[in-house]
Amino acid sequence: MNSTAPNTSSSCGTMALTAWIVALFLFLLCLARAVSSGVSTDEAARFFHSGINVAEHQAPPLMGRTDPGAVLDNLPARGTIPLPERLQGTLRTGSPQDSASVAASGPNVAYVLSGAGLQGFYQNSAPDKVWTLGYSAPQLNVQLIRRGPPTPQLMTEGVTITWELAARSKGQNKDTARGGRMTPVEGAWFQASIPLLDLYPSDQATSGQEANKEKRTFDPYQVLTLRAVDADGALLAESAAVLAVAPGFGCSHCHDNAGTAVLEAHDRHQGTKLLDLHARGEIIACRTCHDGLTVKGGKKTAGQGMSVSAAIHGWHAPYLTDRGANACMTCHIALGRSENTPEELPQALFARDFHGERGIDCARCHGVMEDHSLTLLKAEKDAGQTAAEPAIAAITPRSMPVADMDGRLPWVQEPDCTSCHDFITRPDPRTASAFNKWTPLDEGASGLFSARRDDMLMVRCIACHGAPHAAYPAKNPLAENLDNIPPVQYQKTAAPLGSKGNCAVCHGRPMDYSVHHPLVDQDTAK
Amino acid sequence: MEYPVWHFAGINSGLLIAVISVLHMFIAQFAVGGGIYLVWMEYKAYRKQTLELLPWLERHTRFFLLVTMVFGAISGVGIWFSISVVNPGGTSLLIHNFVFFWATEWLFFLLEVVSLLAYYYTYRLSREGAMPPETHKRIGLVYAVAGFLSLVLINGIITFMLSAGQGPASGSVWRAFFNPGFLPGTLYRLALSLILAGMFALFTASRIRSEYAKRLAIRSGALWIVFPFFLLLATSFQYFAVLPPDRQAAILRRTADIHPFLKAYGWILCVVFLGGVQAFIRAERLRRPLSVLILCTGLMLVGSFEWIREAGRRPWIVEGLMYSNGISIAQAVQAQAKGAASQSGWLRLLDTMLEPDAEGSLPAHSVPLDDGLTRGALLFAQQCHACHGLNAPRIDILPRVARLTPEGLAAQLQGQGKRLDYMPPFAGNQADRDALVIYLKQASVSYRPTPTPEAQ
Repeated sequence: MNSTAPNTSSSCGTMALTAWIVALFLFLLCLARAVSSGVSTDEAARFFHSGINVAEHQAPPLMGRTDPGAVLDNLPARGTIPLPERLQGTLRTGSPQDSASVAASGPNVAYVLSGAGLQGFYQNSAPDKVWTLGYSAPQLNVQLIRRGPPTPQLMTEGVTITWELAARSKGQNKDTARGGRMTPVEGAWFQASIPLLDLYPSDQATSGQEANKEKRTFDPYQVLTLRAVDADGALLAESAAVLAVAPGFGCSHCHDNAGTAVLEAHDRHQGTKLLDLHARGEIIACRTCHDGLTVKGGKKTAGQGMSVSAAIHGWHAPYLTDRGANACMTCHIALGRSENTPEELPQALFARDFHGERGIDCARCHGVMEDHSLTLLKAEKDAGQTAAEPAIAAITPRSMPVADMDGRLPWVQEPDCTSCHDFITRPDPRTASAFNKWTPLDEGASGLFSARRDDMLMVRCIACHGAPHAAYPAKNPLAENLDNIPPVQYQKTAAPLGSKGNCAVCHGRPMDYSVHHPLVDQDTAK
Repeated sequence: MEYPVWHFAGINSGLLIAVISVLHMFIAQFAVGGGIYLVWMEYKAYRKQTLELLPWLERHTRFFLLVTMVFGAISGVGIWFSISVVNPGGTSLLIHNFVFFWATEWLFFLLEVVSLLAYYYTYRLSREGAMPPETHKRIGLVYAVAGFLSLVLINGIITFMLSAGQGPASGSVWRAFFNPGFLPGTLYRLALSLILAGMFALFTASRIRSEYAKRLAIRSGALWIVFPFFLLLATSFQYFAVLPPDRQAAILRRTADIHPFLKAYGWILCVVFLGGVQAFIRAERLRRPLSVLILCTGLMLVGSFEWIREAGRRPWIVEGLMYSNGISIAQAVQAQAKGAASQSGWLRLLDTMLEPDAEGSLPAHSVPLDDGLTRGALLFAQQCHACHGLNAPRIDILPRVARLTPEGLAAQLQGQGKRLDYMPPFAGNQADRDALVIYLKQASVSYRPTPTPEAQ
């Protein structure tokens, strides 16, 4: 200690005073620095002069973004989608006389070939170079019927059915054309997975850089040519089916740079390190953790995480409230087309079947975003998934209390068609709703419309009615009857196969009643 | 929303309050613990006849007087000035509900000032025998008790903000004051005050010339760090335990605004304890720099604790009553149903001044006034600026805005406070949300985000 200090008392006081002044000085310095940094960036000026400029002004929402998961804005021009050459002549809806002649005796063919996708609209899990939902490839199912009389027969023995996705535009590399044989199942139908190679099948696709992706034309309605041949290779029937595919979800509606932004947000809120993993070259497979609940023997067991459907809907539901079906279209993208006027914008990309025409939107069957999410979350909660609880607490139910909702498993249970279509009366399109009336859990995925069969367990629903969300008569936004190929081909009218008295399409003669399912008396139609 | 907004360019309200309040809390709690320390040491010096300590104690009292009565008092008044402009709604709520508690606290503060001045200026008289030491010690006791009661009163109000308990529901101010956090909060701050007293004692004692007196003084200071430390540790946990579950979850959440401070708090606790032990063992060799270092850890202890308390309270200024931005639950509900203007005269006034764009190309809510003020700017100042900087520390809003498209930002405002409950709900309808989105997107035009791995 400094023994020469003359007066410790006063030095102590000076020290205290100095300390106080230094502290005050430092504090003022901090303030001054903060203030000056603000001024140097003209922050104050910006606060009061936000400088809204008419030319720069752009009201939300912004459409047509170009990063992964983009909203589609480069589509083939309306009416330019070519059909397989051999079908072009047959794919015209006929005059009433034509239709009547088909109804009486059927088309002049020996076999009826009808195919449809199991998913009415398949959303690829892009941006798959950053993260992927890992969905399996889209599924196509086909039935081949040998016409009556006497009795129509479902054909699988001694028959080969092939699918082919042709190269369309002239400059397109032939290598992009692909096809395969379909597999017969249960002696009743054929199935195939259609691998997605290139979602941008125009001529630039083969030479284009990744950066030019947004400039390429994207065709969401790729037409598969279906051919049935016998053991000798003779062509029995030819038809076509549409494989409707979107390149991804509408993440970029809201998230800038959607690929990594989604990982960043996940890391921030859930404490994960997905961005680091991705930086090391890994493509994040969402379902590694989001495996969802499983059902064994009627007992639900929680998985490691909630299912992707429950997690994503549940997370976003608080943010997309009070929007009706528009909330759905945020992610299950509708289309925007820059070259078209707003009136011509094809909006009904996802659901384009006749329900939409009659004012029955997504929410009628699935529930509005809040309720839809709650039913998915409730199934998770019932299985003991604790992560579902805060998600449920954050969502305000709309149509009924959560306690009254039935939890449902995504992809396994869907809104049940029979909840409105009871085969006795025609549903009232103003009130019909299949929300909370799910297909039975114990039937699993085989209880879905895409897998069900008629009362004879012979003909698949989709063989006559078309794919889910694209049931006949479907209205395709880009080409008339593109979604109605089998009915227009065989009965010259865009309606379910065999409907409107067209039994002769398969039976070769008019029939008195239907054994497939009871027919609703047309007189009860509203 | 009914108050004018105070926009301080370059620093957001939360950070401003944090800087002022941490410094004030540091000194104010020293003022409580230091008073007890001074009286205790004086008693001990007379009882154990270690009268060599008395000259140092007198000098320490002078230091104590200057630091606490000058900086402590000024920064205390500074807090009142700042909170009344930064969060007038919250200030008003606390004044209206606890007016007599504040008044009582101010009386105790007056008593503190008088008794401390008397205590210091009679020290020499008592040492020289002109005043009985007993009288002098009683004056000190008056100060110590007054200081502690000040802490008790303010602590009751501060803990009410974090754990309101049954107070608001019952309408009883006593229940509000003696809320679940009251007892652990009082004991916690008492322990912290005693530790700070020990740290400041080390600071002045390091300059004592007499080896013997220095050793005694420093060991006493070190013990005042080490023993209350256990009380601090126990009450830290107890304080946490009495909090409502959602506050506990908020404190434990792993977000960048709170988790680093929680970790820092744990580490600093260890360093403080070790600093105390080290000072005790090496009492003779303790120099000024080390004592300053120990004081710094004390400041960091106070800083991290207060930050956790403030950040863990989000989105509330008073749990269950009023949000961080001074908007009450009732106001937010009304504003969502009828628009923010229904709750804010300032917005109504602005609306009457806004003329729709002549060509009709701008929606009314984005038309600027002659001086450039837009509806969105006012909404930002009213609802966001309490926590968010605009291209400024802290929790800068621009990088957050850049992550979302305008549509995404509107959705964020719509869902705010529902799932991620550390933010209050946006108090406004769709037109208000759109106005704010346009303003924020305009403000973020110049913001350049750091490249993402994908972009690289």
